[in-house]
Amino acid sequence: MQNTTLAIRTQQLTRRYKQVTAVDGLDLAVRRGEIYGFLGANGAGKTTTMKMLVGLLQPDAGQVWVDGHEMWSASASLAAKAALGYVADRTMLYERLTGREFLAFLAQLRGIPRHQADERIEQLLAILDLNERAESACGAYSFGMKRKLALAGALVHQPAVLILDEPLNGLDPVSARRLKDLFIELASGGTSIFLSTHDLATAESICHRVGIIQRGRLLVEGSAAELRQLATASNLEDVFLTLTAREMEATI
Amino acid sequence: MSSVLTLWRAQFVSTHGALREDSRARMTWAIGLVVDIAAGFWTFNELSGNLAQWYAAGQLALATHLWLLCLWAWAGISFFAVIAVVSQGFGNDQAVMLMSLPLSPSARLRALYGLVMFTGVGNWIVLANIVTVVALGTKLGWQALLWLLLLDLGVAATVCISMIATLLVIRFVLQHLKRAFTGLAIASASVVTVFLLLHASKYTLHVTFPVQLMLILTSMFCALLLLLILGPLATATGTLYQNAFYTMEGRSARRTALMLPGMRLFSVWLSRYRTLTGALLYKGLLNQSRSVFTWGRAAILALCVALFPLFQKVMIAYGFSPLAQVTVYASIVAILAVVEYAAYAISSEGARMSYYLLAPFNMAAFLRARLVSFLLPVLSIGLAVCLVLSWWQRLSLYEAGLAALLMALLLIGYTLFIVWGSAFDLDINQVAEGAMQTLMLEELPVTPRRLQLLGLSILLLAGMVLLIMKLPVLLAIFVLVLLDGVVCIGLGRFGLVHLKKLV
Repeated sequence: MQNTTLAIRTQQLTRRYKQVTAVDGLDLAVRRGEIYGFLGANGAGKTTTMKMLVGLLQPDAGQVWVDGHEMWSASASLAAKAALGYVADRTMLYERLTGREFLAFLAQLRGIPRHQADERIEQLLAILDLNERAESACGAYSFGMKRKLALAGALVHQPAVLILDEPLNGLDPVSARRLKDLFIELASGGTSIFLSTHDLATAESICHRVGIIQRGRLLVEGSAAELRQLATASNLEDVFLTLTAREMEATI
Repeated sequence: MSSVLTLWRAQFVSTHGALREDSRARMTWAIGLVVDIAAGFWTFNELSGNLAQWYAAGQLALATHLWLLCLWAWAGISFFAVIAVVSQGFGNDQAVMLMSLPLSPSARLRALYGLVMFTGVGNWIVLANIVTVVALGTKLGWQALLWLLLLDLGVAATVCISMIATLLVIRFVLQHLKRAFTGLAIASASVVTVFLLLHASKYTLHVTFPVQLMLILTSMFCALLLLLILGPLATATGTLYQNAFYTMEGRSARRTALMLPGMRLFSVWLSRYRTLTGALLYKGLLNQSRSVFTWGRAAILALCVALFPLFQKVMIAYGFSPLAQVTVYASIVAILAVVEYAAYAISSEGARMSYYLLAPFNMAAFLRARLVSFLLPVLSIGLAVCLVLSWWQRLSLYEAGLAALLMALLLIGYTLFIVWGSAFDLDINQVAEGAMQTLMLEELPVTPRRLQLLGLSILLLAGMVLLIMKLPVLLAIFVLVLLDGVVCIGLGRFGLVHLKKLV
């Protein structure tokens, strides 16, 4: 049975690519209103896991529940998709549409009533500091602005669960700070955020809990303080390096 | 030269690896082979039939027609070469990566030439050679070798010239589009005026030259041109390529989004429909109204309608009835309006496909909505042209209705095929960055799969035209309904299977 206090849950989630097992029997649980940081080295299985969570990659085994709905069941997957917003690590927009038109298109795609969509778009453009360029074509946006617009697109339908692949990648310090504040605000409003990042200081500062994945398996999980204690380290960076090195040694 | 060979080898190994590892690449290769064999078989039949007539008409007639044949082949190769230059030289990450390597301009040019020959026109060169050798060899004996030499050296030179012309256009013309259009209009008007004057004066040019000598001289000229461009002139031409690349990379994206009169009202009206189809129409309207290609299409449509009397003569010669003329011509004009982007109706989404995969609707709904968003403009244009041509042909109301029905059935079948078939080339990991990559993804038949789909769709169109031409009207309607049903079920399943494979 799915625990309804959990926003995301996976059970024995597995994905193989020919001889390589990218994700190997992963069990995850993210609570409602929680910011969960998903850390791992390159190729550890972060993006593969996220794609399985959002319904872009079918698992070879295991199950995923989003907002209480099973993502890979024919009857519940649409409800699961309706509850989530996703920003991929590489974004692609419609170059000839303006930022506002792009968001209006996404709102229409999800059937949000027009007046409600217009209000929401106005709010998001203001929060993400995109107002001034809202009438410019997306093709003329900088990389950081495109990332912010993609995030606005993921938020336009006010999802209960937000899954973000390296959301702060390529952003200037001011924008990054603004987004971190936004994540904290969204989480305090009940939105669950599952984000991957290589910025360990960010993970330490905003995530309620952190999970480290190594070779497709969850190596360790807990709050930043718990992990520091576990690895007898002073910060999350040392925790990450210590724990992943230990696991490598054990494997060898 | 070793760096050039290394790059060519890398491309060959990459293609070989793709064929070994990727089932979609193998499928593409198989479809390409089928299209090539079909095209080769048809060309061989046409050529063999005509060759006997030309041969009987004398040496001069034979030489004239074979020259024309070579010119047609070179023109076709030139088209594919231009596409290959744009896609291999500018529109992908590989081009960007190669530009960052410490290669001399001449090496860059030679590498690009090899890539264009190998990936862009290689299969057409093989096809042209096989057809020419078999068809001409049986009739002309050893003389066929001279024509083959001319064809091959001409192809090699044509690719070179097309490559340089493309680079020149990108380097010097794209930045000054308005002036370029004016220049092109003046040049076209001058050519038409000269042609009309010559036609009115009944001037003819008679040149007598030994055929074999002419063949040898032209072949030598092509070889010399090729050696010059890839040899002593390679540095200058390679520098042109580098500068053209920098021009493309340095183009600043338009900051303001163009909103044409009436479009805002239309887009607001479309935004009232809070459905997937409404969203696609809203996005499509804004996107297309801001594409320079849309205005080119509009001009081509107007030109096509104006040129109806000219094509009518050809259709009459082939035995088309007035009703069939209206049906087929209106259908082809409507298809011309969408053909160069309908073939990527789904695949042009690339990574943006995740917006649809993550939205709460199933993929069958997506396929239906995508089809409707293409069918509406195609049928609207087709119907408008059909009405104009019916009036032009003075068809009765009943005949005009039949023409419209036949046209609708033809367009539905064709659009179903090309729109749903385009799911085959979809790659949700494909990200386009910058204007050129986006253009390549959204507007050009740059991948082998897109070209194969276009080829197959033309075969389907030809089949449907044959049905309209040869069968009585009511029987043609019945058969087209059946064919549309088969295409709908077959391509619907095909599209769904491919979309489901993505996850």
